Amino acid sequence: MVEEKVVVENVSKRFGRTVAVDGISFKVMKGEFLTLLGPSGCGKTTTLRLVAGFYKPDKGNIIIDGKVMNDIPVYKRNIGIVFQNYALFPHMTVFENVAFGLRMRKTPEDEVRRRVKTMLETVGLAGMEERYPRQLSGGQQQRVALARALVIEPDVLLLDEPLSNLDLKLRLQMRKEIRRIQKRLGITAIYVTHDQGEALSMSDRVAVMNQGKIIQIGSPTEIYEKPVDSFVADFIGEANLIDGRVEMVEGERVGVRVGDTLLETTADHLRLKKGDEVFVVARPERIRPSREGIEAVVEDAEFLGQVRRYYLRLTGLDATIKMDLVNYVGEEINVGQKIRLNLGRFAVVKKDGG
Amino acid sequence: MDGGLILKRAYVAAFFLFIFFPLGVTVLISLDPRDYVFGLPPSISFRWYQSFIENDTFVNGLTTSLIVASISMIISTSVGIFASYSITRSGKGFMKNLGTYFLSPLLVPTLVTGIALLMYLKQLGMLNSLINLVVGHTVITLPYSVRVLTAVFSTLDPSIEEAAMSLGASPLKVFSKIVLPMIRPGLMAATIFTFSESLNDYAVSIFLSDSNSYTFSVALFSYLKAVFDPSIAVASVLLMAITVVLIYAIEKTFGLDKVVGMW
Ligand SMILES: Nc1ncnc2c1ncn2[C@@H]1O[C@H](COP(=O)(O)OP(=O)(O)OP(=O)(O)O)[C@@H](O)[C@H]1O
Ligand SMILES: [Mg+2]
Repeated sequence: MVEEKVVVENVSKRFGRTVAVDGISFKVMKGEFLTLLGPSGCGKTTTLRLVAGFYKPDKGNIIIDGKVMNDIPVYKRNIGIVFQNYALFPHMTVFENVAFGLRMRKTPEDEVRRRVKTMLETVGLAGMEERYPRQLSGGQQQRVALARALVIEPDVLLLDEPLSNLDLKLRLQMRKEIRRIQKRLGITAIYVTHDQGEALSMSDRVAVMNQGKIIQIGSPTEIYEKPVDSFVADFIGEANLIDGRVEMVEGERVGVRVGDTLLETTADHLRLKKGDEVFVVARPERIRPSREGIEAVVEDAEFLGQVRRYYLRLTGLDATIKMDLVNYVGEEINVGQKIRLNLGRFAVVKKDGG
Repeated sequence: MDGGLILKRAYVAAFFLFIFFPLGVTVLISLDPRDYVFGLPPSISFRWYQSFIENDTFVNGLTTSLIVASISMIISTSVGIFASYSITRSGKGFMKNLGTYFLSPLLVPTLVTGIALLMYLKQLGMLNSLINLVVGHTVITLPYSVRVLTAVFSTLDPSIEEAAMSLGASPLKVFSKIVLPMIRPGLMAATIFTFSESLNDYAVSIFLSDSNSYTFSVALFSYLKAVFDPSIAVASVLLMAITVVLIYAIEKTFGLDKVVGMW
């Protein structure tokens, strides 16, 4: 049976006139890795701090392990937090940093020693016990922060953009590391980021937030393939949003007219009706030149290393879309040329946020 | 050796000379066997040290000053720690404005503070001049410790304290195990500032002193009004020595090496 580890129930939080979090609800299962993803200022950090207990919700409940936590202070919740800037204790060695939480819990000294040692091995920092934080690289400091949060065996691990201060290569490596350790320890984690690559590659589920609300929550594939609205479609990955109108609905199958072409797809989650105004969400990497399909004129072309990007003006529509071709070996495509397009697998979202 | 380095060293040497030359001269004068101050001493003697120690006014003044400076230093620093911590950790409103309130004695000339305190303490019927001196010196040294400590606290990253809290440390534990050790350098600066500010003060002391308790500065000035002999230089040397000993003692207690190594 899957346990519900963290339940956020209809929680709101405002600062003065700003509504930072606006009635959000979600559950995190035991051992699950949930990511809160969204643009700057959408309320991710506030949500995390509500779960941590740094803020009290104005409305709603924070429930951990079936207990309402609203009035329990941070230091009495059993929570591990990893901060963006590491927040290590500068006057303590690596060992003392990691041991701090155990010492606060009055753990016997020999057990402290043993658990800190094991945890430092897990994060790959064996032998660094006596160093001070300032003697470590950014990546190493981040590992100490992780070890410090994990050694207390928290009910839930909270991470607020923990990788944003690292360079790209290290960031990619640490993504894997964090995920590996989280899985190995079976820890429940809530991860905050505005980097969709991070969210898609690490998470069991992603909650996409905007303006204090959760717009969609689901597996990375779900939110990529079946965005519920144009915000999610646009925010996750690259997307061309093309105006269309529903012309046919038969069970799951939907026919959408774009210009004078009728496109067919399945959209079971949207409850579309004939006549609905929609966007067709076409991913640039899935569009291909083709013998039939929508007609377009090549407006511009860019060479981006492995990828060739074309800007295409759709005939009869007031829209320019992007097409990315990787290792393309077909006929040459020139600026000014007229071509036809196969949009590949695409999604449909209702207009006005549906 | 390249020219730039020589220039840099010469600059540093000149700087030290500028700072320490007058101090060296003072030390020399204090060792002069003659009754007056003129040029280099012909020989070395401790005669003026002898006469300084035998002067009750000096010894009383110095004792009072050390007592007053120590007590007001302790009060100012400990009040300063909590005041500054609350001021920097509360976002806005009342507590933020309290910062200005704590600094206000800096805006008033100490002479005015002295007169005001004299009249106020008289009204309250406080006639013990030693206590009055401690009160007065706490008033004038508190802004220094608040100023230094708010600056120190505002450099602390609040997420460090939050991390400690998330690891199970109550607010009290956070303060004693995390905040206090991190602000040691600032605490040291605050204690030194407040102590020497108290030791240096004349303007407030002159109003609050009486024949029972008077500070070293008051004793010195009244002596200087009558005579100018090398015992004044002895007094200066002593003040220097006290400061050095103080810094050394504080360094031992707070551990300057750790403090410097931390950042
Ligand atoms: N302590 C605070 N006082 C006042 N307003 C706040 C406070 N914390 C957050 N806000 C406001 O609440 C909103 C949400 O902020 P939050 O920090 O949760 O966003 P975020 O999604 O974490 O953004 P970012 O990606 O930039 O970190 C913002 O409009 C922010 O200005
Ligand atoms: Mg944030």
